[in-house]
Amino acid sequence: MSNAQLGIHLGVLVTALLCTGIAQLLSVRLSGGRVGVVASLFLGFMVGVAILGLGEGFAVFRAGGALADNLALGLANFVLFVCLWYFYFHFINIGEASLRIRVLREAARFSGRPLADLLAVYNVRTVVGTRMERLVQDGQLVIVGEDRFAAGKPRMVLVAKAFSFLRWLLLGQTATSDPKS
Amino acid sequence: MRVLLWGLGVPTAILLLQICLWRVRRPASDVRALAFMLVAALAALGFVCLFFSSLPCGVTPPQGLFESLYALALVGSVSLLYLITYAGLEAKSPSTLIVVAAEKSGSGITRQDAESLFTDEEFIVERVNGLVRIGQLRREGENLHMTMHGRLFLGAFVLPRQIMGLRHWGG
Repeated sequence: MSNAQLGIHLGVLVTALLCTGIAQLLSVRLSGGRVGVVASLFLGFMVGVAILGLGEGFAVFRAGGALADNLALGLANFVLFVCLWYFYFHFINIGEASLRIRVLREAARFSGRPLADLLAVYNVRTVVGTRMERLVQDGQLVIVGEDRFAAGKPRMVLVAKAFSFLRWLLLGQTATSDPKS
Repeated sequence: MRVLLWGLGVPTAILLLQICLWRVRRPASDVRALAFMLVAALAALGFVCLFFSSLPCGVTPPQGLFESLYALALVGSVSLLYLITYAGLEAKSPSTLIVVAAEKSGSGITRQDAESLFTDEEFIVERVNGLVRIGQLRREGENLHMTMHGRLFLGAFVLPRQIMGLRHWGG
């Protein structure tokens, strides 16, 4: 496979990744927060996949060389794109949802003061409040009565089940085993 | 074709090896052990690309600088994806625990039920201790101080939030 062929496929991948990031950041900014962070990440993903598909369609027929090589490189690019989007997803999502980052941010505000001051403003009650608000907004929880919440969309339950399966496959742990915190 | 075969074949081989090794004996620091295996595989592939044009078993490694880098990037990305997911298996997510608890209880849960699933010690204090251990916070007596390492690390997450115009922090 020639360097020119590889260069064309690499250019398509870089363009798709750039467009993903720009679409994600701008969709939150321009909507004034109406598009949530997680929704914007999936929106960016769809934009990136569309550009990657178009670009690879062009590259497969225009880059020269064997068709099978170009198709394989197109597939490799798709895998690379998904992996890099996954890192980006975690990076942005960590900034929004990670307890550790929020604790660090509160520690920056309360730098030089005791832990008790931090715990007075950020504790499990605020964590649960923030999480439940976000889960209701996202439809993962639905309000079923006065201050009662039931499971809504099955996405997070499915993710939890997929993780339980992976834990069983990779670690040999059953669903009742307690993972490390 | 070589890029795809090597890019997916090497991480798959590592995954199978890891499952076998972990079933025999799971390392005490398993994320570190897995990271070591993945880095070693990446280094081995780099070595093969540099010094071999074909292998004794008749398999051809990636040829030339560009193709080799492409294959290494694919192996590195798939490996890192797996490492992130593996590390996630170990962690407890408050959101997941809340949704699973709501799903298990037929009539739903209250905010107090959700709060009873967690303690400050486990979810906040433990993370503060972790940040002290990795040098992003410093303890002086009772007081916590932000270090330069902590400020730089936090800054990486603040910048995209500023671009997105987000004001309220989650967590």
